[in-house]
Amino acid sequence: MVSEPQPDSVSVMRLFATQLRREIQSTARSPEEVINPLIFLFLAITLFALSIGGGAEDLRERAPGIIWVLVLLANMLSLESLFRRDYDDGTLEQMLLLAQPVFVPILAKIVAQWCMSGLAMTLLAPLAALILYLPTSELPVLLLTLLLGTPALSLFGAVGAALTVGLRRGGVLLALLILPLYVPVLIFGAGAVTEHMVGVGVDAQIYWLLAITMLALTVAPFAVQAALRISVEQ
Amino acid sequence: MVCTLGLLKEFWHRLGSPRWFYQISGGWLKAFSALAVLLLVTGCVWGLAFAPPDYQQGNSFRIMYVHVPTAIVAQSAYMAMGAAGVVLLVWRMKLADMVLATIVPFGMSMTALALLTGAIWGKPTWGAWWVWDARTTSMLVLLFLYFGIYALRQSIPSQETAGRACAVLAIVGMINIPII
Repeated sequence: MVSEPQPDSVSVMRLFATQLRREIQSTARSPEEVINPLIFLFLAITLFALSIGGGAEDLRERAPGIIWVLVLLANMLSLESLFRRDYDDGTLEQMLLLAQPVFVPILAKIVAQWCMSGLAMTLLAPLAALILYLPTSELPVLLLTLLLGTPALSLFGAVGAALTVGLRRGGVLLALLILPLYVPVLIFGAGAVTEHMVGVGVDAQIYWLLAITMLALTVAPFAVQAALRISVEQ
Repeated sequence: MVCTLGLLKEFWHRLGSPRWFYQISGGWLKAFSALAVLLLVTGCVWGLAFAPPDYQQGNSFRIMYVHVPTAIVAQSAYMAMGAAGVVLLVWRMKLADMVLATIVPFGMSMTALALLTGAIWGKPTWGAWWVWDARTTSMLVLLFLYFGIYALRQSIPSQETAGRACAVLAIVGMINIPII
């Protein structure tokens, strides 16, 4: 009697690592997919500075909002290519046919996407804060909120990317689907930095961001899996 | 007793199948329509003519009789849509797909109506058509969530696939509702 092969913990971890390595390699071979959203981030900051006028006081007050909104948009732009190539060349179908739990490689893809968008933008945020005259004392709060909030953006956004990957005109639709889901993260993220600037404690917002990210982490991979199955079928 | 339970069970299962549902609910529709007209007329007359004016807001508060129910229905319609989404994805019931498809324009119009009546009430009361406070903002985000689901359904050609895609989005959106 042949027993069914059980997906043991080692092979699941190896699956995760393999997928992550593949994502990083494929990004290293076409780095423009990572760099372009980051350039967009700074380009849009420049547009804001030009339209508001370069006054230090005006920019400083609006800096948390500007940075958070643009991180949202830049993250959304980088999500479009998350499943695109795998969908086009059929890798996605093979991934969905795996004997192991499918959410593992999906989670690896999202983690890789986050490293190259959310994490990269968090690391570049001091530069953005510098050119928007945000005081250095606000930097820890800004970085902490970005670090805790951006994973939720990538996770919720991946659901939208998975739903629209099979559609020809996905671009604006993706924005329409995922930007409403980003609202709580934006409220708590930008709110924390703004309130810290006027000297109010921000523990509540930090906990909220953490809670949203944890919720997204537990729910989103399975929603992405369901959405990918739907997208592949059509 | 067992026989009655069996009949009830059969009736319940039949309700889940679109063919039977349309036959059964077609009869109910007339009764429900008459009841709706009766209740709407009673509510309008009572609210506009008989209810005493508010001691602070005068007569302008009467729009609350439209505003509050639409706002409640707008949010509960979204929750119902999420529930229908779960039913559709888990049990693959075709009726749930139809519930989803019907709720989207209904919930969208209720949300729009709640925002509109809120603005009309806000102008004399708060002195502004629009205030960015938590409640109005959350209703606006709800409207955008409905728009997103509507747009997704429109852009997927296959009806069955569209229904399931909308179900996924409705469920993920439902998680956001309490936070918003």
